[in-house]
Amino acid sequence: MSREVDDFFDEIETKIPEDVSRLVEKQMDIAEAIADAIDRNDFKNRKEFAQTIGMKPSMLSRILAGNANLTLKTITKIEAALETDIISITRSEAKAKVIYAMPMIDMKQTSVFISSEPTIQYTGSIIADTEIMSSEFTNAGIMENGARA
Amino acid sequence: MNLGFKLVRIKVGRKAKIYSIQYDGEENHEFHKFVTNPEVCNHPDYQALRKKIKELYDKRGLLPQYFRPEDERCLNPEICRIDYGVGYLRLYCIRWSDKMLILGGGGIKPNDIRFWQESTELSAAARKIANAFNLIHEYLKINNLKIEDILED
Repeated sequence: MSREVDDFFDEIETKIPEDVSRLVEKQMDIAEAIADAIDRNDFKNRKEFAQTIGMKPSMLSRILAGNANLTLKTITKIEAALETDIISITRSEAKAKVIYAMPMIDMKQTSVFISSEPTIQYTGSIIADTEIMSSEFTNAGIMENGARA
Repeated sequence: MNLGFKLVRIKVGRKAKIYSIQYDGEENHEFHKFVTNPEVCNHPDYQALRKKIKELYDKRGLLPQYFRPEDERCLNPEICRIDYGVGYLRLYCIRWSDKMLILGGGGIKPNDIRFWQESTELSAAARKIANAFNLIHEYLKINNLKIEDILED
């Protein structure tokens, strides 16, 4: 076996860049998820599915070959036609709270620590306050040093 | 009947074995020529193609959706290409079974042509592997053999 062929397969000298590796993996994951979903549905064949969503069969072929860099718009269009999730986003409780909290906190004046518990820490004080999380989030809902601002 | 080439094993993965075609009198097989072509190795899609092939033989298996016939009208429909992105970098192959892949040569499709036949390099590689495919089938039939009987493991 030649050095070049060995390297091609086993990355002995030349590593595949991490971002490329991740991209290709995800493209192939998505391709297989779509192929499986089409096969589970009642479409006669893949060409019929392509026509249903207004896509050229050649484009669908590219997608299923793992060659397409799909936009969210295209993915969700496919998801809607197949009535299934092709991709899903996992959010932890902590991150979910950050999404609500971030736009309302003046980050220059406060620091925000969101844990899995319903607590907010800012200006060095840890305050347990689920009210802010559940209420409509306005500046009036921000507290400083344990007191409502 | 003499095949004029041998099928040499070049990789054993968890999901498939990969072979390439080495013609009589030549030092290297067709896939070796592909990976030692500087234009191929320096193509922007080369690393992605490497990853894709790795995923196929080691993780996902030789799923048919990843092997697109190059031209069902002009070539045997069994002659497929593995490519990436919009398909400028192409590697021709025969997906013999779920677990066996035969790699040929390939090359780059220039931007200014529409069909593979317009590229001397791609055309030669595609026709070469198509011819090999026909010879293999004829050889197995005449000699009442299975593919495993002619592999160089």
